[in-house]
Amino acid sequence: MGHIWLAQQPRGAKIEFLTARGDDLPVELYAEAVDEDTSIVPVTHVCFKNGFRSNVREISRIAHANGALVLMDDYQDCGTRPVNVKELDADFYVTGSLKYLLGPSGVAFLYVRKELIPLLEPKISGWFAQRNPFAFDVRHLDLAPSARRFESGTPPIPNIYAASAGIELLREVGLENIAVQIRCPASNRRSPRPGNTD
Amino acid sequence: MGPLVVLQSGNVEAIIERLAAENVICSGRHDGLRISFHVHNTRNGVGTVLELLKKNRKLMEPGANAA
Repeated sequence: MGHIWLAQQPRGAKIEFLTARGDDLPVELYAEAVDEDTSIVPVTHVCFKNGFRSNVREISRIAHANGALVLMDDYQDCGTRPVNVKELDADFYVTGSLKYLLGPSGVAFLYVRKELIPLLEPKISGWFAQRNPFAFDVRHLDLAPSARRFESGTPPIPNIYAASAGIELLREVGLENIAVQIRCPASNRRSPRPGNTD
Repeated sequence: MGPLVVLQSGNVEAIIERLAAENVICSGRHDGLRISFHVHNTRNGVGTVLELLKKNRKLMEPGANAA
């Protein structure tokens, strides 16, 4: 995810990376780094390198207290347990079908907090972002009022069929059941880490 | 805790190959052997992985070379 933010530097963004303490990225580090100049706090829910799980709810509290938005990247966890973006108070949530959703590459998902949707205008757009894609009116940008306004061009349709198959399978088993099943092998011989109750 | 477990390894590429030869598919990130669990994995599977890691212990040690 770092690449995306670094690419915004020519637009004036100043990027600050937090440095983990060993394998942990405790909430205190966010509290020290986030201030009223912070625009957005991107949080990796589960780290791709070591499996560390971030306390998104607490990070959201810190960010919102400073007027910053929170983007939660759930790529390394989505499909392994139920997730509730509203409980975690994330403003944006992104994930994709490639990993634990048992799907292919090329299909990604974005959730945007409902109140934010009309306030945000994408800088990259396409006909699927329009209120009526089939208007084919290339002279007017008429963004959809829903989160569809963040879509772009024609989606990768074959990949969507494959992604649906994975998601349907997971829904059939049930995310609650999957969470229990995964906790079993993943915690088989793991010694508890102080302060990490999950 | 996430659904993935990462173990430090001195030769990630070699251990991934050894595991793959036994139909255990993992990935590597830097010096970490990343084992990702999903609904189809069981405790027996964990036992199999641990046995394979024990057998290839040398590849897990720091500075290990492919044997």
